[in-house]
Amino acid sequence: MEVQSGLIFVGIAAGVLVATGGLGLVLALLFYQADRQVRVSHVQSAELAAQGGLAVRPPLVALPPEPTTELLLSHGQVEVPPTLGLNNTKFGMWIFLSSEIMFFTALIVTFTTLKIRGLLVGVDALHNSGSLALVILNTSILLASSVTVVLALDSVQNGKRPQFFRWMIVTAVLGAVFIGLQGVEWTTLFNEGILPTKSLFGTSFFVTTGFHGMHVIIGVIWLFSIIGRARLRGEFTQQNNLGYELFGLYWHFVDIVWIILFTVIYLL
Amino acid sequence: MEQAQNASAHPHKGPNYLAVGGVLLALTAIEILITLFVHDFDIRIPLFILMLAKVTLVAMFYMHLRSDSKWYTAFFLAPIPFILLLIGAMMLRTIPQLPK
Repeated sequence: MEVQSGLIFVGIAAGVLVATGGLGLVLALLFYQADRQVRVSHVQSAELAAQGGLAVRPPLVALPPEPTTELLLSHGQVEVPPTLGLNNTKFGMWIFLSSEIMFFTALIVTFTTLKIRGLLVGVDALHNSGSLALVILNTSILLASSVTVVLALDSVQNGKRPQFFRWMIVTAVLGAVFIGLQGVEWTTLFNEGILPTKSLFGTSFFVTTGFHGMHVIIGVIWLFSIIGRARLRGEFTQQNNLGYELFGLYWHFVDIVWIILFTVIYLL
Repeated sequence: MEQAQNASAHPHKGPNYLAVGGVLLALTAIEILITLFVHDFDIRIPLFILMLAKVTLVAMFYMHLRSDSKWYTAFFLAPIPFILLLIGAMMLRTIPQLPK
């Protein structure tokens, strides 16, 4: 049984690393190609503007010229200052995280309500010493990954590029290890007959932790795409690291969700 | 232009992230000890408080809500009324069915 668990862990963790690494690098290359096409089109429109403006079809009804349109025609782009003084991209990320809060709240409240009503038959399987030890290790790993994510951000903001890469790779490995250990836990429960389709406990537990695990996997893919873009194109510098900061916000949110799940599902 | 706003001309000095990480691990250890060894009284409230403390530390120091614009904090906390509404509704359905 122990050998089997070890093999499952290695298989899942290695599989996650390979799959997410490959997907992340593919994404990085796609971003590179898309960015290159946008840059080329910007150059072309700027050249056209310099030659005497873009050709536009005259409107059917004569309208007064719009300042934004005039700026677009003359300069090829327009900058609209944000009204709250916030970075729009970061603001959008926080809005997304707000929606994720509501999503996970629904799952967690459902699990908690079923537990209070005594409908989660089999929940005691989570409280045996072996399972708890595994989850405690997993929680420590995810907390450590939060530390490495913010250390990577600190490194890039201070211009320490080698440390930036090092902390990112450590984070990716920790994320994959987390998924591997989650896979071991799931397999243990499967072997005990607890399945998503067999009981309310199975459904609520596997859906909640499954969605969280999916978020971790997406985070690891995103991280590998960041590593790829940083390596291939020199992106994410001391002057320009907002993209990595946004990833950090996402990863810390995933960690917060696990902090709550750990308490609600495993400790209470 | 937006990303240029993120530029820093001098080294960035953030909080002591390792110290915060140490506190998070310590709080987790306390949670586990309470769960394993405290049986005489209701552990739900101390566990809930510890959980909130950990969430607050991650949000304030790792997500930089403490040093960023308060609008980000506002949008992070905006779902809370809906959360309380949902919890309240579920509790209203649940409490009458608890065993007496």
